[in-house]
Amino acid sequence: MAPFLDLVNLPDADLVALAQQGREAAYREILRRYERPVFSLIFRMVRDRETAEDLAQDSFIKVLNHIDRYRPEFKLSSWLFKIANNVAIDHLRKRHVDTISMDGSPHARTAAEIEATSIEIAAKQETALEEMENKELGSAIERAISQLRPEYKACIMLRHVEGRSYEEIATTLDLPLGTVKTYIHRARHQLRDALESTRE
Amino acid sequence: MEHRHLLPDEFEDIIDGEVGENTPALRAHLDQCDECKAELAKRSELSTTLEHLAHHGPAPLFSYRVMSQVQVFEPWHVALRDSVRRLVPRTQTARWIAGMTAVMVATLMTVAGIWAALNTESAWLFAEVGVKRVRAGVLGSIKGVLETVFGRDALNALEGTGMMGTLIAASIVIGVILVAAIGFRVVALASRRRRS
Repeated sequence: MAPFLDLVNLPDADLVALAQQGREAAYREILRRYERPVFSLIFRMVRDRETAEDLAQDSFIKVLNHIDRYRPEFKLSSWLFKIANNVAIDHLRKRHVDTISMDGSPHARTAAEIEATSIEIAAKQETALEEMENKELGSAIERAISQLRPEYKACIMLRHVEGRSYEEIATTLDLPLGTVKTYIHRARHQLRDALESTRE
Repeated sequence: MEHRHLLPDEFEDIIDGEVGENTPALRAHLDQCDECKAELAKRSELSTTLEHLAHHGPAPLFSYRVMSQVQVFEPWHVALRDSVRRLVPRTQTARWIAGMTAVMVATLMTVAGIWAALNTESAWLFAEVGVKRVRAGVLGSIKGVLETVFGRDALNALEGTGMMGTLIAASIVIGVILVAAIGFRVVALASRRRRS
């Protein structure tokens, strides 16, 4: 293929074919095309800009370093979102496991031991970055989304922000079609409730 | 009113544009029922809000950071194809001239091949003469280099010793080159270690 192709208007499948031939420009175009959707999905799931960037970076590195394993029967975007979702879910699970009890060690038997092993958290002052992030995700709808379960978040984002069909979401997230439908309906219900309570 | 009010999942299906057996009946009911129409509008509002959510962007250096950790692999057949493509002229005229030249060369070589097959003895004679000339040319060049580096006397002495003397001299020269290369490498490594 000629090196002067208009990559911007090329379909994803052709772009991947070029990347598989070792064209660096095709790699960059895939990155340009999907960095915002992938980052947005992860950012809304983890709600921390720095972590979201790290996780989005990991997702892209996984995809681009294994571009030869891409199967053309799937959409590139579905593959990317699948990896991004898995990376975010893994991170959230790990963070959940890593959470330390602030009430002291569970093995402490006396009040003194409990006091010695408990963690004191000083009054936290919001940094400029955190303030900016809170503004970014600060609208009522973003706050409502943040209250959803991670799997609901992924489904609702793919459905409404990325405009994916239920079938595509099911393939992307490796979930049965019925489950996706249920998740989206429940998520919408929770979002409506949250928005209504905000208005009240 | 001919139809019951819509159930929550039926509202969701209408919003998603899902079409089922009872969709026409549900739509007909919606056209007549203000209550269901209002409920649908209320539910659709959320979808509209969600669809207008902006994409957040990563930091400007994000793509640079990703690409610095991606190994772009070019398969050998692509590299070969590209190399061949680079040899093909860009303009139509140049391509035409190159094509004609290639055809002429191929024709000449074919004719020469056929002639050689039909006249084996003559071809063999020409080949022998060619080889002799090449050999004489190569030997002349080597002698010229040796004469320039070691002088005429050394060359005469070397010629006097015959094949064995030439082999010994060649081994000594190769040995000296190898020792010098190893020495340079040791010095370079020591220097790099000192710098790091």
